[in-house]
Amino acid sequence: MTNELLNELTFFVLAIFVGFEVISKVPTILHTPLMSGTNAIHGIILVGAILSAAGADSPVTVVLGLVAVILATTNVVGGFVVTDRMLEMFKGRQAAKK
Amino acid sequence: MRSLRCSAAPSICAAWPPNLSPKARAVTVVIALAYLLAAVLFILGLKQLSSPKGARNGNFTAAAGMVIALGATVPLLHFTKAGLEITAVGLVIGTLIGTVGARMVRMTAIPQMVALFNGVGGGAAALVAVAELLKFGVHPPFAEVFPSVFSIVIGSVSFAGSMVA
Repeated sequence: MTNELLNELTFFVLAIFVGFEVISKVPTILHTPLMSGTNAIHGIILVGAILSAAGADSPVTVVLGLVAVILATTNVVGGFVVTDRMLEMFKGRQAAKK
Repeated sequence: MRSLRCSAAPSICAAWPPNLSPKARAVTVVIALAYLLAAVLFILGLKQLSSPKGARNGNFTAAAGMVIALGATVPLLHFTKAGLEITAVGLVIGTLIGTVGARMVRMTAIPQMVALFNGVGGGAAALVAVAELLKFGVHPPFAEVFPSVFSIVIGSVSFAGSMVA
């Protein structure tokens, strides 16, 4: 049990470093799409929501599960679609904010 | 250790019984590798997002990672009757709201939309943490309490903050 927590803590700390490095030195014009893209990625909570909702057995967990899946799916789908909308403007050269 | 955790959270850990047949063991290995691939695709996608030329591909790469992660979850699922319905309904409704919202919003309102999506994601995290904590009854083990409370706090703050924004 504690071993598991320590493993997860390790991943957490390393992930922080990876995240920091990956988003450094991003041109200003890409800041908003990057924010939107990382937001869509954090919709990975959908995996947790589905796992939780699938096993729903009491009325409370059913409601919680349903709302969680709806919210998480909105985060994922909306996030990727909106990021794509922003990036449509980027055809090779920077198109600037119009 | 794994069996101790699984007796406390049977719904998620039903896929990891102590005695696995070789085939089931292989499946769990594949699933774990699939999640790893998803994580790698997320990181690579973000890397691509940092240059104007590769930015659009970066979004697709990350989306592919998400699809793989969701696909890898399917074998782990053990549906109750209600569970199957709410999962399916929830996915459909969420997709509709997300797609319609993302397409219909004015260009100038996109940052607010992003904040909104971020907020609901945080809300989802808080709800999942609450649901999982509830499964443990009155005295949850500490290993479960810590990340759950963390999620609940961060998720709720994210949700509330995004509503204000």
